[in-house]
Amino acid sequence: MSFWEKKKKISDLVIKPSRDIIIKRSRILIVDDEDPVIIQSMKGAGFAVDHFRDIGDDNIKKIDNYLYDLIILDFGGVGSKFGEDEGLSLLKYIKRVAPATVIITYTSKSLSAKYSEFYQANGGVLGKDAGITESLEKIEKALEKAYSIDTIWLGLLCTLNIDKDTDKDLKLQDAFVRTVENKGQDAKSEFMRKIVKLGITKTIEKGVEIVISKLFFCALGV
Amino acid sequence: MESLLLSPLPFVNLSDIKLPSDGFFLPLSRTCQQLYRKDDTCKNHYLNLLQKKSQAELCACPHGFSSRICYYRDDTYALTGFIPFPRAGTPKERSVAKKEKKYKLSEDAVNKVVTQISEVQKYLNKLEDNALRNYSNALHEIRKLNGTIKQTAEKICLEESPDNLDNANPNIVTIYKSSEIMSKQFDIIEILANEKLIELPLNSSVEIYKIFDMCVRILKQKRKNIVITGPFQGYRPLVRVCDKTISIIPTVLLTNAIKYSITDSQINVCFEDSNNTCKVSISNMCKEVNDLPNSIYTKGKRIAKDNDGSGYGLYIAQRVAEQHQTMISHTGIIGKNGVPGVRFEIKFKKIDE
Repeated sequence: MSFWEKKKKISDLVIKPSRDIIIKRSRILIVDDEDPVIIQSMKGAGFAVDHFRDIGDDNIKKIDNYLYDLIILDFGGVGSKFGEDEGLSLLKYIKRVAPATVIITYTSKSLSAKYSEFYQANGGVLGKDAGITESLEKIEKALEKAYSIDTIWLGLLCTLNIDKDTDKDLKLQDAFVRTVENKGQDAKSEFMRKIVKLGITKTIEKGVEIVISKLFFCALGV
Repeated sequence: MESLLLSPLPFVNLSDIKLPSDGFFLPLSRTCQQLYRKDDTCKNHYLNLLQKKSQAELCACPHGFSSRICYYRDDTYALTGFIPFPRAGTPKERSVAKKEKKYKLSEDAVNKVVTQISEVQKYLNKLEDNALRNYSNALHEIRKLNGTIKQTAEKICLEESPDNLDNANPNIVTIYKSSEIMSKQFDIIEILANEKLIELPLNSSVEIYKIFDMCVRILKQKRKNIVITGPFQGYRPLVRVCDKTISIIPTVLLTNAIKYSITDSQINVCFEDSNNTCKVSISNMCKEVNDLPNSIYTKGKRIAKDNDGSGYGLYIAQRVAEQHQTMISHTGIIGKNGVPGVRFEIKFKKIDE
């Protein structure tokens, strides 16, 4: 790229995977200490959904490794491993280790002001008493967000410790868009090499690789 | 208890300066009352208190009395109208102390009052936390039960009539819609119990039409004759909302319209489009008066003359409107045959898709 050439941005890419593809590919996790009534309706609507009563040593890797695109998170009776604030402690953990994961908070409790951050998850709030249609619409909308290039990009920046709109971010966007436009055989590996070459990181960790895979799925459908 | 009513000493709320209130142990002296009404010297003294570097200090007023700042709940108060010992040494203090012996207090006693107020506050906070926790648990269980009823009824309806839920077994539709109405009422109760929720950020972009339409569909259970009109050809403006609170606005406006309108009369929900805003108006013909005062948005203000209505609905709806950087307004209207009516309006700022 010559120095006067304009840097490319991810907003130059027009990408929106179809609803069917999103539903087919996505994986959802419900973390709830009780049996969620909505789970049968979700399965009936074609979503791949798992249910854990809590997150502990046996299943934490699944969150760390971005196995889920969307997590529906209860407040009460979960997250004791992560702090005193139950679901809020777990929410903070997920935001830190898997920032590209979209989270819907799922409760019908009246939480005090101390826990109001729980209502500010990136996927919104779903009451446990919401109807089936309302719940499924909300879940679809959150999955659309999980598969939006902006959300995944923010997650990648966060995982790589890069601030938004900084020089590093812009360089990375340029490298990504050019790799996508070249549509090479192994675009994902090429982009990862570029990340290392730009000096952003020395090695690509598993979490970063998974986020990059998702980016290329959204951009190229592979 | 939002005000410092249990203060032993006279007090004034510094965010709303008025004639100080009596303490339950020491009433405000007649001298203080007269001096406060005479000119702005006392008001200025209270305003100056807020600027003091050390707010734990006693501060003498120009008339020879003293004040001391204390904090209670979210407000700053001044305990006032007493003469401290040891004296502050201001020119008029000696003569006031001779005249108003009853108002002489040791500095230590004033400090103890401040400490007691702080202890009462801690105790009340603890009580409130406990009450909220118990209340929250009870509401949680009822909401879960309501959710199970709603989802089960909805599932049966969808199995019977996947394209239009309203065509399913009317008894099941009634159960479904009634539990939807219950959910909306629970949302209002939740906000009343925890008004901090109204400070949540706007986290979602939604078609505002959809929010009102959904509410209308549910409330048709109570009033069949609700009509939505507007430029619907490709008209789906998006607005930024807080998804936890936004449905409170249509719920309150529509349930009020149902409650206070002539039985079986039509309720109109009208969408109007302009460049940057989307205006929604809800109008109905009234049973009684249509010239409602602006105080209807005040907490606890009841319009109904019967026992119905809590007086909190419009207050909460207006707070939610403020959260969405807008406000609800109303005007009296005259319908057919001179029947009085009322129209509530709210404008939402549109955003780009």
